[in-house]
Amino acid sequence: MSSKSFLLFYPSSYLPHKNHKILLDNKLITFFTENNIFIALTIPASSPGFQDFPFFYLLGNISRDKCLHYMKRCDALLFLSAYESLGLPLIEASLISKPIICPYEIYTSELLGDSPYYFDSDYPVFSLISLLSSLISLPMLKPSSLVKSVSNMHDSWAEFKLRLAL
Amino acid sequence: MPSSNYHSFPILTIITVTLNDLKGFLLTADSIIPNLSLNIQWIIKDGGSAPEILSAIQSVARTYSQLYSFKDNSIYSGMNYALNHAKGKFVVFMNGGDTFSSANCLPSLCDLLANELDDTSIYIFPYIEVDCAGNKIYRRCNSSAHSIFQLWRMPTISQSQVFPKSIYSQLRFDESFVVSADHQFYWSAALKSNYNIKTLDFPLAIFQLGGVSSTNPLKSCVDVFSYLRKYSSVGIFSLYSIMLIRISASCIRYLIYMFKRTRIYSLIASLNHRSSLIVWALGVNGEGSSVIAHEWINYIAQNQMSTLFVFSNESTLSKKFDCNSTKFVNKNARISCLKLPSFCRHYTFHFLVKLLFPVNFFFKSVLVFDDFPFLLASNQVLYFQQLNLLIGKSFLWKLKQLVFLILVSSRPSVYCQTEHVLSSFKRRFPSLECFSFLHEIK
Repeated sequence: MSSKSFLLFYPSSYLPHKNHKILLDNKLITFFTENNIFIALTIPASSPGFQDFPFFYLLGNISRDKCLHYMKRCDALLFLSAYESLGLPLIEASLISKPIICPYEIYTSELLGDSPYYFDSDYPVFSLISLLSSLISLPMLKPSSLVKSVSNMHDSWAEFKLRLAL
Repeated sequence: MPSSNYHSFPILTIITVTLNDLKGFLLTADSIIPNLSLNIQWIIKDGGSAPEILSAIQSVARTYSQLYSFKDNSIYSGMNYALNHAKGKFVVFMNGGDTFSSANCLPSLCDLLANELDDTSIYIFPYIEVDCAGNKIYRRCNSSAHSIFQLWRMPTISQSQVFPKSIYSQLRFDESFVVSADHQFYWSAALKSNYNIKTLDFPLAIFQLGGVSSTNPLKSCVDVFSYLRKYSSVGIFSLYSIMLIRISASCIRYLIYMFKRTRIYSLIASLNHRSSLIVWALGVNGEGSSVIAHEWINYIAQNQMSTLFVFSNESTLSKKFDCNSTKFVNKNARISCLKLPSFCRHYTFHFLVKLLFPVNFFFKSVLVFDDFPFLLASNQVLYFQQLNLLIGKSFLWKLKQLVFLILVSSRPSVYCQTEHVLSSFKRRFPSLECFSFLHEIK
């Protein structure tokens, strides 16, 4: 049992493909309790199942500033979504070099390459427990970074303008 | 006599054919000269312009290009003559008045061609058409145009076609077709040669309507009929069907062209006060998509004249900014916001507007952030952020996918932020023009 607390932050709407339900698995609940792991979620306070456990902070819909504040404060960003067209929190967390824990999916690997801590989305509970067990004992986690090149808005707009015939 | 300064083994030869049109020639020259390099050879063929025009052309040509000036029989005779002097691996025609679409266009084209190991491909590109009122329309390549019943037109204009020079040793423009020898050449190359046709997705040329083919629709039809009879193995019934399609389309285009030259059209256009751009973000309500749309709206408000932003009240997006803020106060621009009531976000309303609203009557261009394009729109970019429209399995998503399938028939340019969405989109809609990049997020 770890005495030091570990805060994870998962900013996302409460939608089925975001996979919040994984967190309610009995094995994970026990693991969180025994290891002082806390998880801040941006889902409504009334979300069924979550309000029964004190280690879930249910923040509801928060402003972007507040979201960035939590992102800076947490030990790592947790991202469980099965698919995303972009995955904005992954980019935001990378821009502040925050460690990221996420499934190995096509959208995460395109943005982040090898920089996050991946878990296996086919066996998420087992894989998450195993990953978190190793991470909480580390003195420092590796920061994440973007591997996809980013173009500035001026260049992007030039591309749009061509197709808009402006 | 040719002037000096041409290069022995360029990648690209640009041929400009001109006659008594100094203004048009200078426009073309301005789009070429800043990007001339050792990789580019520029040949100008003047068809016997008046002395004062010729001397002005010579002063430009002396420094930058090879100029040949003598009277010729037709535009295509001039093009054929210029081809005799082409040294580039590839050739593009950019005649007087036509221009490359942007400053980056020519360098991008050269980069693309420099990486081409063999010269067995014909490249075709979209283009921007400018009518006599100055309105620009983005025209995509008609990639299905290689079927027999599409022979009445080319997939793109000749200024947006790049042919390997080797093809000209086998084929030339048939000068007996005064108006449509470029059609004859394209189809002879596409149907008879062993060259691959590659469609690219950035616009190469800006094309000014009003040339010989726009003003001689019947002659153009007769040319098409004659070259199909001469060069293709199309049966007589198909030939007459193609001819009928061609005549109908040409007549409609000619009537539109003539109408746009009338005072009535000018009056309607002036009453209309068409804004340049409408940015449609009515359905944007998710946190991530709102952050992206918000950044874009702020950027566009600062950098684009005459824009209307549409979004809904009480949405996540509307909470993010204030239309009266300094970002939207630009004395030189006509920037406005339209906040519609939140019920307009409902899909039924949303879809009806997208199906029925003739957006181009009021706005020249449309940028859509809420995933569903307008059916009746050209110059449209769809900022695609909803992966569920490609992979959603529920009944509701299947229904939305059906509506999307109908709306997307307007063939917008589709922008995706990531490669995996882009490849999913291309798999689902292979004929649509899609592109991607991840822009900065502050």
